[in-house]
Amino acid sequence: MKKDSEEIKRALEMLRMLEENLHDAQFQNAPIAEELKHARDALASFLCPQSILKSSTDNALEKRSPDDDA
Amino acid sequence: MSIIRFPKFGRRPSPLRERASSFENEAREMESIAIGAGHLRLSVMIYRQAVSELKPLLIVNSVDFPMPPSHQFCDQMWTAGYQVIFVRRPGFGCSPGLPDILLEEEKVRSGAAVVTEAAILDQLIRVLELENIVLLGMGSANPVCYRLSLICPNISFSVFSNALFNQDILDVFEPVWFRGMLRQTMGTKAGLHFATHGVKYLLKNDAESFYKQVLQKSRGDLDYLEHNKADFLKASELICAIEPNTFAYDLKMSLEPDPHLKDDFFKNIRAVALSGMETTPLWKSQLEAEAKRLALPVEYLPSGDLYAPYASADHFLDLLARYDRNPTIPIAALN
Repeated sequence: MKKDSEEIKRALEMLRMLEENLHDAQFQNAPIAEELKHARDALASFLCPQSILKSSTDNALEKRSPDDDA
Repeated sequence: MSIIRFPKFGRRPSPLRERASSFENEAREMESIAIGAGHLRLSVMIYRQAVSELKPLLIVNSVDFPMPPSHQFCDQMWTAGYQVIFVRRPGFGCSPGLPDILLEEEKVRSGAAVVTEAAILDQLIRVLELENIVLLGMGSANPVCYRLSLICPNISFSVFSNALFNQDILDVFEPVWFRGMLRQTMGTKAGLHFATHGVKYLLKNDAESFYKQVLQKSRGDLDYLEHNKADFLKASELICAIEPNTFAYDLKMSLEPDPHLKDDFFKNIRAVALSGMETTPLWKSQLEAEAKRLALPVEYLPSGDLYAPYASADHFLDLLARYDRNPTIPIAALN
């Protein structure tokens, strides 16, 4: 897929907004956290298809997973 | 003998009327507002151009009318203490749509596109520093507005006007050929392209006649069209500029089941589902069933269907007086 620089900049903006909302939604256990995550992952794969992006939000959650507690 | 030529619709306006008309146009001027670092811009109409101390009435457009409400409506809201702020959604005629990756079928189904739009609008609310907002979602904008109500703490009350929720209501669309076109957009990609070209062709050919046919079941909507022809003409130009994948996304979110809309989706927000009375019994019964499942109160306005809040402005204000102006009504009582 050919990407123009304006589209990349817009996608980056959206990614930043989604990260912000995702952080809040996960913190509040909001029902749309899953949708935000899908959107974040889609934009991340568009911007950087070769790498596996993991956000700080996900990492923080993984650290607090029930398995770890057990 | 000289021939006096009048404008196409009606008589030449008097100088006084021209001044009034110029004020009306300026008061409803759309402006491009940058959000974030400035690479993302949205078309916004802030009634009377600057955010005031009045309570914001934030309106998000439906695909069929990406235009702000009439000057008369905005002025009536202003007098009642509400400032209309209208947002034209990204990709709806004069700004780039969502990135293609979000408009792929699987991403649309996962809710990725709709929640991204909500996040963009949430950011706009922060940029404009709006608080204590009444949100009015029109028609196909509602899937975005459901999400926006959840993620934005500055929205105090939401009105979902003509919301489709998960209703099986394709049969309510008139006339029959229009219903057929909608079905086509849902079936295949080729069908979508064919149908969107068809709609655009009809709009380019005779926008007024197209709207008259689509709005035929509501006297209130037809009157609204009659009094605001220039807005509908502009709306038709904007619709013609919408990309097919944005069309497809918007229709899919409205017409196909939304699996994320669980029974308790709205449990923490103050909201009502709104409809005009000038609609079909099928629409009313489907709306009431879905609203009951989602624990949302249903309100009806006497005039209008697609544009019921605009066509029944007095009654819309009564509704706001009952719900929004009465913070003593707890969410549980609303729901």
